[in-house]
Amino acid sequence: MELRSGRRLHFSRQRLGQPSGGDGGGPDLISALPDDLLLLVLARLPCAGAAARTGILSRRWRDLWPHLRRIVFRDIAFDSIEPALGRISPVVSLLEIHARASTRRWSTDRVDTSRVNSLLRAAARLEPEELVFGLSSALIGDSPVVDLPCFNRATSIKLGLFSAIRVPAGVEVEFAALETLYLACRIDTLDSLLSSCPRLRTLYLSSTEWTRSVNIVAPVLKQLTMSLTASKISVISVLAPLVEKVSWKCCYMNGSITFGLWLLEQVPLQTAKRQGQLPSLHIRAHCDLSVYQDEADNFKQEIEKHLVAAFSVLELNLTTEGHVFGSLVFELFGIDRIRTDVRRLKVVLSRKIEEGCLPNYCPCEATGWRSQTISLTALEEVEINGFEGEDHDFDFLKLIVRCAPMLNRMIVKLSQEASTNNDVCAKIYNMFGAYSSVECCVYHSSEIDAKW
Amino acid sequence: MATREAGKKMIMLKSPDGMEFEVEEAVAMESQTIRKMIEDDCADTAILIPNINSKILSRVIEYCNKHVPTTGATGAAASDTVAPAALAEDLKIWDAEFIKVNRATRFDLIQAASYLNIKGLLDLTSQTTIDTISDNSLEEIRSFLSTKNDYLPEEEQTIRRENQWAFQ
Repeated sequence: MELRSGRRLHFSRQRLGQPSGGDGGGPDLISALPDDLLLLVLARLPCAGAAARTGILSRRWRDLWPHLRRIVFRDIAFDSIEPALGRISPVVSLLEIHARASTRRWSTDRVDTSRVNSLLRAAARLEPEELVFGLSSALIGDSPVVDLPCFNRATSIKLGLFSAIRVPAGVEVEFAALETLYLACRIDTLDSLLSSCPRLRTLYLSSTEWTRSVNIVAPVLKQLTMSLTASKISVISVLAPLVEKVSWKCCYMNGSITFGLWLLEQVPLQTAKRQGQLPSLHIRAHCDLSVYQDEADNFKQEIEKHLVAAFSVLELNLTTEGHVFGSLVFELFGIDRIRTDVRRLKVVLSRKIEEGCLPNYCPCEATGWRSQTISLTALEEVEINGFEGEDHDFDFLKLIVRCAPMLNRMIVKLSQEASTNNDVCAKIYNMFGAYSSVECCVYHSSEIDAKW
Repeated sequence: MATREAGKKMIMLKSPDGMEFEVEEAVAMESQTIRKMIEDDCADTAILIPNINSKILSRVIEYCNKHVPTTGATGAAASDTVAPAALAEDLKIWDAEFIKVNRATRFDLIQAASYLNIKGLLDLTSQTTIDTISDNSLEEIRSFLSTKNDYLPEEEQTIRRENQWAFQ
């Protein structure tokens, strides 16, 4: 029957070997539903295993499940998945595979790379639009390199493999439709994959292992989420001119990047998550006398690796252990993008141990920052949290006032110790009394003390 | 086209057994199939809904009446006074009552929901069916679905072997 809209009806009971019977009359009503409706019902089962079990109900059900277009293998033994995939007819819209994790940590159930590669090839044969593939680290063992075959219809691929992933060498592959790529794996070998995805718009990369090199070239990428661990020999490069949303976090292996006594811990960069929020660069570092060496790393160059999106807030979380922090901050001001783009600076100072400076000369004073000037052209607001009221703290305030012609707001939150010393508060008042263009707020460690 | 109640457009739906149902256009357009016909201007007078008898069609209309969004001139007040979460909860309870029908009616509703392309009703009817499949043993499922095991014993063994992974 043809409707005027052109849609053809398919209320059929035409399959062979079915029980007969009219509406409401036949005993086996569900088996009388056409395939597409039975598949709609089967598609509601949470796992392909449950769907496959219906094959045993009767002949009518036997070959239905391989025609499901959304296939989810949940908690299925690794070795069973590939034969099961072999029964499914291409092309599927979703293929989601979570192999059952081995229950014993050092069991012999581990799978080697060739079996993972073979399973991935079987998955590629089904040409999914969306692929989700996860193997637990207990299953896959130590650091194999997995070859990702081409999924040319896939618009979204999510892989959690704890291994390295590469596209096979010497083969021209292009993930022509791929727009979303989530990878929780080793990042090192990804360059060839990332350069084979011309339409990539969303990229999520996460690795807990040390990354030697990552080189992202993504001409239409809009959203980038990155979490990696690096050291000074890590090569990090991102070319994504259209990127709008960035959530970036790089952790450094302890002691790999130093500046005087300072060790770089983390560099997160975050674009606005909601309206009114400003994009911000965070730098977390701490002092440790025992790491001091004369040879200085290129701290600035290291930070510049992470400036993958515009930002206007700089937040520094510095564990000073009582050392001078002005030299480090002045060093950071030397980074062009920080000097010209930062409108708001927040410095959070803390100490975990009472180390303090060496008596005569302490290496934390290494540069002549106290007397130098640099032009911070956009800086309007500064907040210092944990202000201790030492001479070098005041020298830092002077540095800011000297270098930031646009400054209109200074917030100083005193450390607990400084909160008990009225001189510190008075000294700040005196200093900012001379700058009528700057609104200055001083807070005690627990409450607002005064507003200038 | 007929109009009633302050300019509300009405649509006539006809079942193959000759019954006619006059429904608001918004209610009829819960069905994507009917929506397309209306949008394509194929619904000047009455729309014949083939293969859906009047008993099932009236149930489908009952479902659409309940699920049509309560926005617009007259519905605004209702949706303003009741929180969306409470409304959703109310609908869920109503759905659960609605689907308490015999199997024959439920499978007719699945077919009707599929043809008329009413996603909510299709979800409801197929989920209700699948709940029985996921929670019960094979024999219970067969009995519930009135499906007769037409395999020879050795055939059944083969199927089990083929899909052994699914039974582990």
